[in-house]
Amino acid sequence: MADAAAVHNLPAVPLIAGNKSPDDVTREVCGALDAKPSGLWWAGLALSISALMLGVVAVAYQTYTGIGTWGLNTTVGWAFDITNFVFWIGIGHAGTLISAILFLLRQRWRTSVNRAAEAMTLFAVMCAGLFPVIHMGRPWLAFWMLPYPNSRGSLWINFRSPLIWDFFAISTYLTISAVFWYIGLLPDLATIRDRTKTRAKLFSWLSLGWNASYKVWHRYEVVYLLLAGLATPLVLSVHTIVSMDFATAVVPGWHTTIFPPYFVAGAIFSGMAMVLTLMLVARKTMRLEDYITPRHVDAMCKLIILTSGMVGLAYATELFIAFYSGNPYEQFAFVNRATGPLAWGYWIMVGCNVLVPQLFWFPRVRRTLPIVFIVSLLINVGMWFERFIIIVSSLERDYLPSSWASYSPTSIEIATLAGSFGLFFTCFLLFCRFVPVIAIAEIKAVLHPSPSGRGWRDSQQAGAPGEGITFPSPFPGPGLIVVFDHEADLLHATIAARKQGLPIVDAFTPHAVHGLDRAMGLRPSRLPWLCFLFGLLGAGAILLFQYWTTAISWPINVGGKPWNSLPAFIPVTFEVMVLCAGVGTVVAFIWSSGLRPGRQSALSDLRVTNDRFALAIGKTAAFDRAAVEKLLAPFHPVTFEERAS
Amino acid sequence: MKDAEPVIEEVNGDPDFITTRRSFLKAAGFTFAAAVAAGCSRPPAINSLPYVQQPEGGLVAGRPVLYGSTCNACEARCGLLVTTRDGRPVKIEGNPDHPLSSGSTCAVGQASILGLYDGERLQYPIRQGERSTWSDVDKEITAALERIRQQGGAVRLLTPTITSPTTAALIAAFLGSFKNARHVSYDAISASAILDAHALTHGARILPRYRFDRADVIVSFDADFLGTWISPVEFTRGYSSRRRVDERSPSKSYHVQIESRMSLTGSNADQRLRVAPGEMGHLVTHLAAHLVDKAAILLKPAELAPSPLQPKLNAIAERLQAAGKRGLVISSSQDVRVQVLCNLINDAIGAYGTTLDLDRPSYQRQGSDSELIELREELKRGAVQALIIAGANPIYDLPDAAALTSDLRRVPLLVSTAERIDETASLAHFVCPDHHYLESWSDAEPVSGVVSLTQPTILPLHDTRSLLESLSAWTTGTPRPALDLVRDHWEHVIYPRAKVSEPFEKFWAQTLERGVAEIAPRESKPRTFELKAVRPILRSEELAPNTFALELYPKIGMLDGRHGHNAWLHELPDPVTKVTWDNYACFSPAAARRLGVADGDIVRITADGVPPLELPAFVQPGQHDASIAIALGYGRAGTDRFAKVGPPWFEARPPIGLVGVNASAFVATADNTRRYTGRAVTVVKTGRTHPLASTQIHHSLEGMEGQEPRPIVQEMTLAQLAAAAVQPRETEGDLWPTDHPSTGHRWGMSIDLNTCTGCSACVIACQSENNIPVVGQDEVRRQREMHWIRIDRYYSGSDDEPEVDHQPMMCQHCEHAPCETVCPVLATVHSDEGLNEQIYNRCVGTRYCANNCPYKVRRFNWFDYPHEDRLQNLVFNPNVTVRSRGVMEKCTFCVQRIEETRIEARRLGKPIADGDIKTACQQVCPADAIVFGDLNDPKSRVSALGQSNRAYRVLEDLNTRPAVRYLKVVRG
Repeated sequence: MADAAAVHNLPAVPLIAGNKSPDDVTREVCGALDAKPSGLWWAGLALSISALMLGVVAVAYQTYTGIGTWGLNTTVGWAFDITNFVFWIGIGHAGTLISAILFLLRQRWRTSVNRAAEAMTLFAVMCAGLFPVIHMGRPWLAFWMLPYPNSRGSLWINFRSPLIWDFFAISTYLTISAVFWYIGLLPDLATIRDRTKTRAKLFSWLSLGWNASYKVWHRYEVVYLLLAGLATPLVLSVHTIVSMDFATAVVPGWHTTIFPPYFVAGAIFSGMAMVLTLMLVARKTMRLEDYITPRHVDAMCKLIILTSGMVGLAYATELFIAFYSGNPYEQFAFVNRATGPLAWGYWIMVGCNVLVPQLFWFPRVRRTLPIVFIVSLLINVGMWFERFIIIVSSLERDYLPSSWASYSPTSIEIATLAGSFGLFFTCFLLFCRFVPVIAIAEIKAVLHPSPSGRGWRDSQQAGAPGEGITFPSPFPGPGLIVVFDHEADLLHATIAARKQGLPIVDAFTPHAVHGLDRAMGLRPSRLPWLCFLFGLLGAGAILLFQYWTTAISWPINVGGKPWNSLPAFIPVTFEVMVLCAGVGTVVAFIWSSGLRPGRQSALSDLRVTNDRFALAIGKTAAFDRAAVEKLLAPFHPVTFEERAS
Repeated sequence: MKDAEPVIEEVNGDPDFITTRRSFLKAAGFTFAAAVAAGCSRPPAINSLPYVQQPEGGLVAGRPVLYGSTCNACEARCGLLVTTRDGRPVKIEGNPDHPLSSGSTCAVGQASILGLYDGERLQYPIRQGERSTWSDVDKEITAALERIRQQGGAVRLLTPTITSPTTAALIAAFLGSFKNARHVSYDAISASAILDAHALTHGARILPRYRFDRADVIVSFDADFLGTWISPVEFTRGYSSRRRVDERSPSKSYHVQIESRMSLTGSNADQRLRVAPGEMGHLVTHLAAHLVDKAAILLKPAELAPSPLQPKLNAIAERLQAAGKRGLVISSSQDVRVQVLCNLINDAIGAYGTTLDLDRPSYQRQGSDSELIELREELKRGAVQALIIAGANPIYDLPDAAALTSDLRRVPLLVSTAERIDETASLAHFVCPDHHYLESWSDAEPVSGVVSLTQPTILPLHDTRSLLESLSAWTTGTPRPALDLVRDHWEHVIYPRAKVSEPFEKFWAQTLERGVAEIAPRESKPRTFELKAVRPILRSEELAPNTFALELYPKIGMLDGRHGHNAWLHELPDPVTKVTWDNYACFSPAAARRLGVADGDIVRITADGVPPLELPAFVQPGQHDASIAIALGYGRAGTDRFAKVGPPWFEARPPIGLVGVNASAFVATADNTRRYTGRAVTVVKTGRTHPLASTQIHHSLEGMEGQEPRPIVQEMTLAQLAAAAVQPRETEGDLWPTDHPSTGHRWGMSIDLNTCTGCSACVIACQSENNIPVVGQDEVRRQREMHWIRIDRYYSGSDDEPEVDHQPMMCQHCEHAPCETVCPVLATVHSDEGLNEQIYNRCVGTRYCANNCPYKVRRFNWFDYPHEDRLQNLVFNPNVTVRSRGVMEKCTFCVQRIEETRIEARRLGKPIADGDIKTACQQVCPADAIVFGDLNDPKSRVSALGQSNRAYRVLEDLNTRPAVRYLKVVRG
């Protein structure tokens, strides 16, 4: 693994400040969940829930009275609704970017923020998913988007419609994000389970009996990598598909091929800004200054400059292409965007998204957190306006001047927007309270070695959480459990033991230890093959299904398109492929690892979910305990324990 | 569940119509119990008998029955075929056999069916403001009349123009029994001066029948003959027949409109002169001087002041001269001198006999302003003992309403036959409500020799009574059935004029079936032209500085306000301004700039002797800088009912008070005629605003300054048309395989933009046919009007003198419909006959289809839009689904008509012939601009028109391949 500091040319400061031991991490992150929430948290929650309630009332009124309570009209059929939808989906993208793409790129600094970013993704996608449903004239019939056999003949759905692509993309995205998040949480849930008394049962159930076994860690790493690999094209596809809602339409200002990359860049850009906003808030309110350091903020700011540049380039390209195309409708759409009735919104968008982020070229600005915070807020505003301008200014004035119209939102729409923020922040604040905000297991892997070597062992306080709890159940099979304090000790001890021909039964570690698989002689996991198989099956099945429904079961002339509109079937095929591959792999992993809710975890030492490393050596006929102890003595074993059964 | 209950209340509304679960179960239970009880006893002996008299045509549930009738919505009296389904009239069609209207109707005629189901019509006779019975009312009225008869008191009957010969005869009989009785008729929108002028020049107070179908050159001074003037449907038919361009020998009539406001007629003119109302007489004199000089008829042009428009007028005069008897000069001026001058010109070019018919004159305007003025004098003196007001609303129509009100209060017997307690009826001692014309027997002779019958299409909904029956009751003491009265009159007066050999019975039955008969005209012997009557107008009237000349005009739909309770007409966009639900003061752009007013700024308009008027301003290109135009017909009593139109929700801003403002106080009287134009008024800005509800906010074909006009409305010149050879249309290749070969029918439409005048009859026809809801002013302001067909109106050229294009726009039924591909749930798909179909019950309401429609013809049900008046639900066409909230809708090419014709053709074993199917918009079109048919049939009219050099499709570049082809406007 390349050193992040070297790659980024950063000053060689540790990723995590405060010279923390793994136990410190465990204690601080878990401790935040047990501690009484701060007044600031309560205030935030009260505000969020108020906004949420306002939104709930607005949506209820609108559902009861009619979508006419929005400011839409015959010409402008979408405005706040789809703006909010695209906005929230965009916010979600940064979470996946940080957790998956930065993971693939081995950006170790992501560990401080990825948990929160993933949670943000999940909540943002939830918010986003609401809007396509509530924006319908008859939201109670939203399930008609599903291709289910019905008594209508069966009447299927229109796989040529970008809205169906959207539906598949969003549901896949939500599912994969949730699964990814949950898989990432598993070791941490076990860590909390072993440290808490109040909610132990819940966490025990949620952690699926995670026992820190390295055999599971070994598969877990593969699954995590596979999910990251799937999530990366998924995140690109989702916003590509969202952009196709517009790009495949005939509306001037929407009908452009630049939209997919433009939207993806914009999404990541806005998401980064939102991650920054949230992290800066969480850092203060949850007292995580040591984990989210200015170095993280600095890295995020640089990403923002990059994505801002991409967005700015997209704006310029749009204008150029409109000019270059010679298409008068297109030209008008862009002149109208910049000078028409919504010009103020256009210039807010350009100002906030292109001009303001240029401040981040200055290191001093990047390090002045209040300014970073303000800029991140402005970017959020700018990106909201980007979607609003694209949608409304294009619709307002399209082909027939007779039908040009204007749009202004009603109180219901504003309340709904506020409500979506309420939902988002309510979820986020609750998340902060009930789920570890920092990926404990991952952060331990990137703790900078302390100058005093293994000095942190000495700094341990007596009576650390979990101390004194008896073994929940014996380790299966006769053998010797050797406990170490340091991953390197474990690694070397394993190598030494294996060299001696001792049977290595398993190892137990609080986080994945690199190289241990080879040391233990574990075969590479076959999960990638399963993943490939699931993906192939899903893609093949949905492609055939789309063909069958549109060309064979009930062929309908839709816009003169051929029965087999293969290009239109690709987005859904891709989404279902990712869904099947992702969910299938995770299910296979859980099943093959024997994890399931209610399983009693058999721990060799409670602290293997905190800061200790255990090696289980099987007993052979020629087992000699003294020889083993002698062999492993150089690796600072803490305890030897013999198990009979 | 508790919350849901008010919804049921809301949906069902009128308690009489509520069917709750309980009441349904009660009824069902009763039926069951009755059946059980009936089963227990021996059935009584019932002799079932067949219909002694089969209902004509045989009443079959679901099958429409069409009744020939006559429209009563204005005095033009077009022929109708009223479609009734299951015994209730649901749609008005024009009667193709009618010689004047030839199957067309106007927006007002179409909308008049809604008036039948108006729940606010009087449902019983009223005596002194209290509910009464017909026998009581009759007893008292006849007793009072008897007293007056014995005392020799004055009896006056005030009506609008009476076109019904039976009614006229009954009036004569009724008044004949009094010593001092007189029938006074007036028209709210008077044409008295034309009749008076003919009395001067031809010795007979008659209105010529204008024959636009024979006119090569038309010069109209302010007469909005395509919109509201006298008989617009008849005139539009005639006019458009000379605007339809035959491509083999392209020619068309030349139309000059000289006017101060932008009228619908002016918007269609080949040449439009924008002049102040005060100049009009002077210009007519110039035209006369030029022509009469040439025709060597005496006129002294020496003292005639010059006019800057003289060169243009000379050119027009040359054209008129060249057209000779095929020229026509008309004016809507109420100045008799102007009308006399028009007569002089028409006479000089020899137009009498061709474009003006005096042998078969029109009876569509008979009102006499001088008689009205005389009656008002009598009323002021208190000399009238009994005044019966039938069909007129003088308090609303006439200026100085306060004085008239106090005069009417002093009349000992005041009877009104108004259908509702209107401005006048509220003063009456007795209100004897007349039937709606769709409930009653009557007849009409709009033009001498053209007689038609009005027959009831439904039993009267309420306890109302035909005017004919009321008159007979007051004459003889007992009412005779109206059918007998009409039949009698026809047998004794009309039938002899028919000069046919068959017996009366047969003639009657034939006329009843056909709806109309052509018989010998009434005797009329106009004199030759009387030159002495000519009074030249030597100079134009000067306006005082900082004053405007007011022009009051009837608006399409509202006319004189008689349909002020018709929601369809209130929501019909004005064909020129596109504003709904209001009247307003039209200013020219220059005048608006000078006053600093914009659309919706409330201005106060004052003139001597009348209370000031406050109404919103509207900037109207083409309006003369020194004139303001205000529509009459607004501000009718009781129109505050429309506050209930539209959805109730907390941000809704329903209209407060009456709809619009009544401007009739500004009608001036001079030289025994009522003048609608020329009154000097001053204007002040009040600083308040009243946003107008307009359906169109951008008016030019250019996207922005400096861009080419978009090729949406396309034009060519006569010369280009003559030069062009018919070229086969190129068909472009397609990347996709063609999986949808069109083998059967392929429905398509052609719309001739050169004949379309923009009259908007199609808009209301479509509304009536397709159950399109009225959404109310607030919703129109939010640009949520629901009309499936709209008339787009574009201005080009300068703001002052723009060229105007009208373009009917409805679903284009694109072969490659952008709406279809984007619908997630297949709620809009393509039929194998080329229709873009909308499946309401599948629609979930994403509105993506509407966003992706380049023509923006899709309409969304933002709310439930029920009729404000529940009785009006009876007007629904049972063949068309009433759409619920949250679904998209749009033009279906009247798919229900296609299916009905298909079923009928299948039943008869015949193929569907070209012309068998007419869409509602096509059926009503007075200009015959819309043709519907099968594009796969090479011999169909629509295919032939599609091959024309003029044919194009809107936004063809998008490759949406619409099934609607437009024919280019031909200029020059």
